[in-house]
Amino acid sequence: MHVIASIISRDKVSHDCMIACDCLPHQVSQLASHSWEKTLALLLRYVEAVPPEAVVTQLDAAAAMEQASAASGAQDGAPPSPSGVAEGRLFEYLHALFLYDVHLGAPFHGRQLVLYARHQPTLLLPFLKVR
Amino acid sequence: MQVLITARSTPLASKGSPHYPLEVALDVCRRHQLIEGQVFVLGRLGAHAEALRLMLESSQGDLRAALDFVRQRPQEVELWQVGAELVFR
Repeated sequence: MHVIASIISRDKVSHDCMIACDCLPHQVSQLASHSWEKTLALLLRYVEAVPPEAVVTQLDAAAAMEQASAASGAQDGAPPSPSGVAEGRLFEYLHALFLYDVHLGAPFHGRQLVLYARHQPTLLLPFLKVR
Repeated sequence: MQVLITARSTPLASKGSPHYPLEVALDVCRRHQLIEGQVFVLGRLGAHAEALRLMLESSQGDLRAALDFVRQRPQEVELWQVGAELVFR
């Protein structure tokens, strides 16, 4: 975790880029638990090093865990994270990725439609019409 | 913690269209009752008469938009027929 903290606290590109390449593809959720805003910025900054597929896979896993913990209640003693947080993050990530580069998230544009409708319907029509 | 991380300030030239299946888009717009979205997707699918019907029949319908829609497709004479029937019945 100290490695992640060092990514967050420093901003020297050359060295941190290597660290980011190592950590980001696997530890999106841990990083996001510190600050989603900064994680999102990192994911976009190092977009070439962090494949959107890896990000989506991890946010999906986080969403599945949220649903499971919501379904089982707080019986396991762990504080339940509010349901829908990971899906909201997926929405924000895919939207930001789309604004950054239309093509990078292409495999997820179908899902993105559903997420727009659920989270920000006013953006759905502009998304449909982009050309 | 002193932190300043921003997204890359100059995005790559981002041109092009999203790649989504039109059927999925239509389904999402229907389920969320987004008429304008449905009209757009139906237009892309070539289902112009259905798009026109939606514009004229739905409560979010828009006669001016319907007229523009028909005018933009002067080669489709039957659209005037469909529109007239919906408006004057």
